[in-house]
Amino acid sequence: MSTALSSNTARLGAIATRDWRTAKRYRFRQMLQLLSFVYAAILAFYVGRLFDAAPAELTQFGGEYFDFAMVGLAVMSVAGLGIGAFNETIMREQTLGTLEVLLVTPTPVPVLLAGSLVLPLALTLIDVTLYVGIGIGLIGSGITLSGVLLAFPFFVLTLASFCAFGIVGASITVLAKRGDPVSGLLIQATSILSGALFPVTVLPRALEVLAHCFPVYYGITGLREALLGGAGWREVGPDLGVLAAFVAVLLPLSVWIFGRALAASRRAGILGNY
Amino acid sequence: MLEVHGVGMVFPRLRGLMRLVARAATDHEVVALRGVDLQVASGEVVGLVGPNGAGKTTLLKIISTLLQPTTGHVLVDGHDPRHDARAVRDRIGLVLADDRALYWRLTGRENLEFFGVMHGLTRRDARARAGALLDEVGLASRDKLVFGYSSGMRARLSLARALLARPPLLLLDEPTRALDPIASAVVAGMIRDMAAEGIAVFLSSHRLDEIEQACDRIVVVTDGSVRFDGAVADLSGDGRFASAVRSLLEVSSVAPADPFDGVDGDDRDVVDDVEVGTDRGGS
Repeated sequence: MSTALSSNTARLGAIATRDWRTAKRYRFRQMLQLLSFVYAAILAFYVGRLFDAAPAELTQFGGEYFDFAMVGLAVMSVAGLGIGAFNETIMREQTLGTLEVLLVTPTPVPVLLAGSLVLPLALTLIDVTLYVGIGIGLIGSGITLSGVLLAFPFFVLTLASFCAFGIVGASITVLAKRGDPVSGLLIQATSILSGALFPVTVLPRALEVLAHCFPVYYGITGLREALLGGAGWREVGPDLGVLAAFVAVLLPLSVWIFGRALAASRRAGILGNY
Repeated sequence: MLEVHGVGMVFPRLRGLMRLVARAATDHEVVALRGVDLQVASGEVVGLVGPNGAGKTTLLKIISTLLQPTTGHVLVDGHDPRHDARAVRDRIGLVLADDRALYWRLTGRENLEFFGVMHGLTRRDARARAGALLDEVGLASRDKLVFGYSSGMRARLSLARALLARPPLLLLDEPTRALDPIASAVVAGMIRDMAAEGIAVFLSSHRLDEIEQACDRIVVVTDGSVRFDGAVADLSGDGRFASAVRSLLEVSSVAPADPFDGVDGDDRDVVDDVEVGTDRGGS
């Protein structure tokens, strides 16, 4: 392993350790976050019991609303991570006064960004495991290993697409300090246009078309087809391709925007403010 | 080790999209530095003195890559931050005047271990170095969560952090601001020891006794310009170092060079004693 790679890996570990040690010292908050799964699962379970027969819109995804909603809630959890983690990190470091000290270390900015995702990702994986493993696997219709394997690239690419938007939001936070308009709006838009809790086919035609402009649409559709619809690589291939194309464009673009925001704030002398 | 050539810093009046999104301390353009030239050699301790808002912190932040100068350039061990910021960051240790800049929910040792790895040390080396430095700054037996530290303990921890990667250039912004006289003397001794090991130290301070004790040279800055750059011995020859520096500061503030030189119209602001807090580079 090259020196740069090993020292950056060590940095990622150090950031995760720092975040874990800090999180442990706010135990109550962590407990409440884990309990949010129970609340959401109960909600979806009883909404699902309203339907005697499977709605036609859900037949493509196995027909059970509970399973359908569990995938949607897992994706919303991933959305919260990708869109919110960077923003939260930047705001926290600005408020603590540690942002400038971190930027004076030789740590590359992408490593700082990626590092801030490690612990939240681990916590989100617990959420996703609860939704998919316990929600669908034990309470719902069940999952297969091949379905999980097929879902994995969709999970990674969906997270990456949300991260791209999250990094753009963090870029605004570097400059504006508070009130990033991207993250809040995107979470709201995702909850409606992704089809997390209902299929987008029930939306008005214009909104349904708009939904296709968001990468999460392809992510959530692919995840459902893989986990619930029994689809194979051939069926999910087109969705995976579109999602990968979104990520290939959006992720480097967002890192470039973040670099520009840092440079602008260095010129304006507002980097360490909050 | 450190060369500063013609560095000027004008914090621009924010315009367009930047004005909509960001908020600066003032709505005016702020001239913080005007063509500053200075050098610090390896093993030398240079003190930076000036009134509040003179541009001291701005200069330290430019050297440490946190700000981009409007004019001129800086070289750290031959590396220009504009072209190779990483190489510059590999070579500097920075203590900011802001004592918030630590993770308060971590212990002092955990803070040092974390920043050690961020500076490129292995986890094992970071752990060993953190232990040694905590000993050196007298915090080894009092390790606890940083929010339980006194201001003086935090200042010492910040100094220890700056030394983690054994940098050849140390930038200290008022490192003894929160320290009692005994602890200040300990830090002054540490600074001399570091210089003896070949580390170049650039130290900003309002404490003239500290400057006199610890520094080889003094640079006096007012209104963003260097007013004096010479040996401490040149000013303390008659045993009246403090009054000699004060008279330099007073002369500078009574008769500054054209403070608005090169700045258009009324949208301008000069960083000096009167405009405390307008220095956006400051903490």
